[in-house]
Amino acid sequence: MTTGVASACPQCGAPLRFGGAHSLATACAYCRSAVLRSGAKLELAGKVPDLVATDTRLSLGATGRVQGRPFVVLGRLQLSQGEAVWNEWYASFGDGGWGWLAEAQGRLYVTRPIAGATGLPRWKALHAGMELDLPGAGRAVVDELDEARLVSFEGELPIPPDLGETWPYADCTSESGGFVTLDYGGDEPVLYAGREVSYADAGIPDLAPAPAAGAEPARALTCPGCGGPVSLRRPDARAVACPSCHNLLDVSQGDLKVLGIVEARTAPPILLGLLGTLRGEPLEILGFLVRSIEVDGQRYPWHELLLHGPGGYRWLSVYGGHWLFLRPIPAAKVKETRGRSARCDGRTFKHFQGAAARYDEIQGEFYWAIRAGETVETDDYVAPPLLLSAERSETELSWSRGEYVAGEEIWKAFSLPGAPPRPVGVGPAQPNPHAARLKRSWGAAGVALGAFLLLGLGLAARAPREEVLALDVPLAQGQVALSEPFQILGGPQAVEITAEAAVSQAWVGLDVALIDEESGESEAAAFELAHFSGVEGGESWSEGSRRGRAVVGQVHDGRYLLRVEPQVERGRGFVPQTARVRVVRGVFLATPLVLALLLVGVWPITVTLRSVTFERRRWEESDHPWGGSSSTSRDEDDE
Amino acid sequence: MRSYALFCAALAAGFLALELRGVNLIPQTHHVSVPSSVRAAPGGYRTYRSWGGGGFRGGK
Repeated sequence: MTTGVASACPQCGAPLRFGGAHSLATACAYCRSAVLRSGAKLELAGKVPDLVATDTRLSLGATGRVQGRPFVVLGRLQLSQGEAVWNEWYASFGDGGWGWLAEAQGRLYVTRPIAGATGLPRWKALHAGMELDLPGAGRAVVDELDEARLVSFEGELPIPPDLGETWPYADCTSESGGFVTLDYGGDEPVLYAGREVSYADAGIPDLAPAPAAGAEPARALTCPGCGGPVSLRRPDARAVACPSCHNLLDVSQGDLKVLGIVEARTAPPILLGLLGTLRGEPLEILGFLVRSIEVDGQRYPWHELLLHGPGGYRWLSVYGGHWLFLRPIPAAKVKETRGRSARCDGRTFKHFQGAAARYDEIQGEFYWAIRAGETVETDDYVAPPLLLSAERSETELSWSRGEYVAGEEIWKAFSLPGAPPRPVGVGPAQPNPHAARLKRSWGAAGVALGAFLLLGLGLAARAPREEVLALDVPLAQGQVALSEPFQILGGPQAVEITAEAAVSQAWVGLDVALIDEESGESEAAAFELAHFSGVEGGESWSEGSRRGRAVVGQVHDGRYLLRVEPQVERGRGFVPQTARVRVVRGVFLATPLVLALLLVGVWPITVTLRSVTFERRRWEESDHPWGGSSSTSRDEDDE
Repeated sequence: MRSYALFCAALAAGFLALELRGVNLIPQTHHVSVPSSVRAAPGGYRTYRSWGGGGFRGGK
């Protein structure tokens, strides 16, 4: 891993060592001179400014292992992006190569240069969210575009350090957790590819105790605005709000710098500094934000809490008593059709709302240079109980994946007294309480419907349908026809009476009565047998029916008569001499089956209606209300 | 789910009872009691005018 070339500082004569085969520069540990190496020749390149105090788990000489390859840390770059300073450690690997170990937001990224990567995009052609296909790195999405300034360095470096120089870069992530940096510091862009690794996986000891074991020791500082105490819990904090004077303080340069007063009227729902364990993650509350969006001239605020635990930063978002627990995810994990849908981890999320979200109130500390009044574009996509949230500017895109959490779970996680406020309305990612029952009810109803249909078909198939009378009734006005007595056996049962007559352009009325000969009880029905047709406006038409049917229910065994009284008006159209009247016993009745099928469907239909009502309420506050028009201009643009 | 199963079972029993007894839930006829005097009289059924339905009275 090291060559161990020893030399002396051209400035002060102190011993220098170029430990890495790729080391081109080093900082003299005694006189802070920057020394460049060109072959055996050493050259002074000015004084190296003091390092900015930052907390880090790495140090010169630290060793570890990434993907089975051992490394040793030989040097450190300190870079600044605006106010924020971060460390990139130069590591020499056991395979003879080298790479960077970058620390940001409590995470560790290991990248190594991809030799011979050509055809890389120009910096000006990039934008946040852009998809790239990079040689040696595959598909990646641009998360961040910015400029870095070399602030200071220590130890050795594989590049000649241009102190104070600024150059653009692009950070990208890939779906599989890969991390890529495109460095535009030279004439040609340089590609560094790697991935995020945990400190533990890299074999770097965990210097900071996890919150579960107790609060991280807070750094006690003094507010330059009011002289009041300010404590910083995270080493990578970039901004903190003074709890006394509400000045927002920049802490990125080590010393506190007043940025201005921020609003802090709202009490956080959970006290800052409180520890808890949520969904198995030990977490500490670091910051509290009141954010808002404007819809139709009205501002809608919600609250966000910044948390930190061994897994990194997390968010709790609460609106109307509905809580979301959010974790950042690489942008490359999300395939977004902006304003419509997004896919992540095999799930499709529907667009819920897009807006410009503003920071209205700030309390606690934050890992980025937050500013009151600043707005970012947000887009939320939901697949309850999950939610994807995008926050984007021209140079940055960040995605979070949230999960709906009941207030009671939050209260329990942080051992809060009392009960959480009762949720109002339906939360964007609130699970539909009817969804599981909906599936179950339709599943059960499907089985029941099938069973009833089978039962109905079986009964229809075994119905006797035995003709007990066939009577030709003379069609003459006033001439009542009376059948001979006939037996109906096998009751009680349904009996069908039908009448047919081949009338044309005419009608016949039949009053029919089925009479129980013994008791005189009878069931009477009236049939109209008619058929008319013609041509009107070039279109043919026909109406009426030559057949009539009536079913008599619960007919008991006995001797019966059939009385038929026709009403005939001859002279217009054709009326046959007789009508055929039949009596059939043991017919199948469809009505009870239809009624049973309807009743079987009552439960699933009720659950469906409740579920639909719930979803309608969910989407009422979105950009896509059901049965309404979108409230965003983006949708209109899309159309 | 259990109560729904019980409900369906009761419904099936009711459905079977209605089918097996031939109960028509939507009556298509009306009931008429023919007096015994009519029944006893020769040709009484032919001339009896109180079937009640009145039957068909219209047409084109």
